[in-house]
Amino acid sequence: MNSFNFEPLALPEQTAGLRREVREFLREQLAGMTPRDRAHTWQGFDAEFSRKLAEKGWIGMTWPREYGGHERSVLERYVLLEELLAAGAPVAAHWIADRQSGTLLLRFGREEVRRRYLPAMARGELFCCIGMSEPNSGSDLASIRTRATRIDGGWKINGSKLWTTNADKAHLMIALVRTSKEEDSRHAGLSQFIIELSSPGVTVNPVVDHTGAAHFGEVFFSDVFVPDEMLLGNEGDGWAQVNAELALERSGPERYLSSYRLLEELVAAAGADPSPRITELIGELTAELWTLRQMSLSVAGQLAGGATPSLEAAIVKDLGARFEQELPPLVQAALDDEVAGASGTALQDVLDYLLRASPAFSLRGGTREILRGIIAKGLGLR
Amino acid sequence: MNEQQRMLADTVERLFPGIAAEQRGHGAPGDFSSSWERVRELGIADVLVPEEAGGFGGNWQDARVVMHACGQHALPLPVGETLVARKLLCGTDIAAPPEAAITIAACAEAGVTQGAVTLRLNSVPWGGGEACVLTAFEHEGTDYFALYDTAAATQRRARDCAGSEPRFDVVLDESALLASCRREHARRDLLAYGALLRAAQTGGALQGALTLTIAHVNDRVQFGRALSKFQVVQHQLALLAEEAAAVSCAAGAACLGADSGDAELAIACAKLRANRSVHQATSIAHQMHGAIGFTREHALHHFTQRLWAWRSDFGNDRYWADSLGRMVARGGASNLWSRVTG
Repeated sequence: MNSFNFEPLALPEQTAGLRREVREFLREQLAGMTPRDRAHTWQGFDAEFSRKLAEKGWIGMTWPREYGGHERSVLERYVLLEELLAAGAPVAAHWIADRQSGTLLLRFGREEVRRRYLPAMARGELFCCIGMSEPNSGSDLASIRTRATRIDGGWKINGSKLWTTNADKAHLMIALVRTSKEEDSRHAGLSQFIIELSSPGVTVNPVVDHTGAAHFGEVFFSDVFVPDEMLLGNEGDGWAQVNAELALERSGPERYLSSYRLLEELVAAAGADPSPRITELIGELTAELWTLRQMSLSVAGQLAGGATPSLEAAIVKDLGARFEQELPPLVQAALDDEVAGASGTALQDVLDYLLRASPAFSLRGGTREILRGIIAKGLGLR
Repeated sequence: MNEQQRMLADTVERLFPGIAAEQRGHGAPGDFSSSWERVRELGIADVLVPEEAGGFGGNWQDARVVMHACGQHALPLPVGETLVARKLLCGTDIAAPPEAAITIAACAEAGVTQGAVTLRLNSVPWGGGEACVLTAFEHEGTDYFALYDTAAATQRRARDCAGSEPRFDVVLDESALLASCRREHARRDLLAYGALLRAAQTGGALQGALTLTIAHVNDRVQFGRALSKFQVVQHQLALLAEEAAAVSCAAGAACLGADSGDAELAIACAKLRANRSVHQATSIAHQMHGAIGFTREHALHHFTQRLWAWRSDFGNDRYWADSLGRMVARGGASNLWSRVTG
C-alpha cells in the first residue's frame, strides 16, 4: 500500500492550443517588464493587467457562464496559471478572487450574493482578500476572537485581522469569525462572512514588510454591519469550509514557482557552456522544478476528478516552499566571476529581491510546521 | 491506474511479499530458482514484450507498477532488470533467453586484446552466475548490445555494498559471450532505461522504508508514549514521506514520458531526484528506528542498502546533474520553461 496518491497526469491535448495562446499574449503584454518586477509574480499588483486577462476570459475560467465564468476545465485553468507564473505576470489583483473567493461563493454563497459579486470578479474589477489570521491567532487559527453577533437583519462584526494580503486594495474580504462562545467548541463556533471593505466601521492599515513593500495589512472591524445574506454557508460550518479552501490554496503552481525567475536568469547569465559547478546546479534545480511540477499536476488532476487530496496538497506545498527558499541561497553560493553581476544586472537584482522575500514562502498559506502536522496526520501518526 | 495496471499491481502484491520472505529465509540470496519459476509463469518480466512475441504488450506505465513493487518489497530477484533487458532486446538480433533471469549493467571499460573485446562491468547485481548480463559498449565507432554468462566471467570480485542484492565486479571476454549485435544508441538506451528502472525502484523502496518506519514509531514506546506522538518524530516522518512522494511521482511521470517518446529530460530529472532523496530518506529511516533498525535481523537494511547502491547505478548525482545542466544551458533561458512543460 502506498501512503499517498501521486499518479502522474498527462495534460489533455487540447490544452496545448491554450498554452500557445497564453504565451503569445504574455509576450506582448509583458514585453517591457523588468526581471525584478517579474520576480514578484503573484505579489505583483496591476489592476489594468487583470482587466486585460479578464477580457480574454481568463479570470473565473471554470465558473458557470451565468455568473460571468467561461466553463473551461480545471486543467485548462492550471495551464493558464503556470504560464502566468513562469512569465512573472503581475496577477496579484485578481489572484485570490480567482483562486478561492469565487469558488467559495459558488459553493456556499446565497444566489443573490453570487449574482452580485461573481460577474464583477470575472471582469477583473472586484478584488478579494482572505481574513483568517489575527494578532493573537496565526497557526492556531481556531483561536480567533473576531466575533459576529446577530442583530436585526444581519450581523455586527467586531475585531481585527492581520497579515491580510492586499487588504488596502481589495473590495471584499471573506473572513472567518466566531459566531458562538469559544467554550462551546473551538471549531463549531466559527462561520465565514463576506464583508465589503467599504462598509462603515472598517479601517485598513498597510503593514510594511522587511523588504519595504506593503503587500499585507491589518483590518479593524468596529460594529461593522453585515446583512444576513453575507453569511457564507451555514452558521458554524466555517472551520470545515476554511479547510476545504486551504486545500485549494496549497497545491497550485504558485507553491513552487515563486523563485523560478532566478533560475531562468541564472541560465541566461551562465550562457551555453557554464562551469561544472553552475552546470550541476542548473541540473539539480531543473530536476527539482520538473518533479514539483509533476506533483502539482498530479494533485490538479485529482482535484479535477472531484477528490480532496489534502495530504498530497500539504506535501506539494512543503516541498515546493523548500525549493523556492533554497534556490536563492544556492545560487548565491555558487556564483562566481563568470556569471556574477553588479546591481543592475538581472541576475543580481532578482537574487537580491528573492533572498529577502523568500522567508515568507514557508509562512503564507500554512506554515511549514502546520503542514508537517497535516502530513503526519495523513500518515496515521496523530 | 487503469484496469490493466490495477491487475498487474494485484498480481505482484500477491506474489512479491511471499517471495521476499522466502528468499530472505533461506539465507542464500543468489539462489532464486524456485521463486524465479513463479515470476516466469506469470509473465511479470515480459510486461514490455509485444504480444506477438509472447509478452504482455504493455507500456512503461504498466512496467512502472512492477518496478515500483520490486523496490517496495526489496524483491531479491532481478525482475526489474529482466523486464528492461527484454525490452531493450526487442527488435534486435539477440533473442532474449525465455527462461533465464537477465541483469543489466553499464560497461565501465571496453578494451580490445588480440582482436577480441574484453569488458569490465562494476557492481553488477546478481552478476555472480545467478543471471546473465546485458550490457552495451562502443567498438570502432559502433554501439553494440552484448549478452554474457556471468558464471563464465574471467574475473569476478564480490562487492559488499547492497546486502541482500548480491553484486559483483566482473571482467568478461569472448568465452563468456552468449550473443551480441550492433545497435544504434545501445549505450544511451541502456543507461536511460536502467536509470528509469532505478528511479522507479527507489520510489518503491522509499515507500517500503516509510511503511516500516511508520509501523515502528507507532509501536515503540519511550517516555510513556508511542514515538509517533512526539512532534519531532512526526515531522521527520513527514519529510521521509515527502521524499517518497517526490520520487514516486517523478518516476511515474518519466514513464509517462517514455511512452510518449521524448523522455530524455524526464528520465534525467527522475533519476537525479531519486538519487538526491537517498541520503535524507535513509538517514531519517535509520534514525527513527534507533539501534533496532541497525541489526541484520530487522528488515530495514533490505531497503536502505539497496537505495545506497542504486544511487550509483546508471548515473550518479554528478552524472545526471551535469547532463541535465548541459541540456538546459545549451537550450538557453528562453527554452527552459517549454522544456519543463514539454
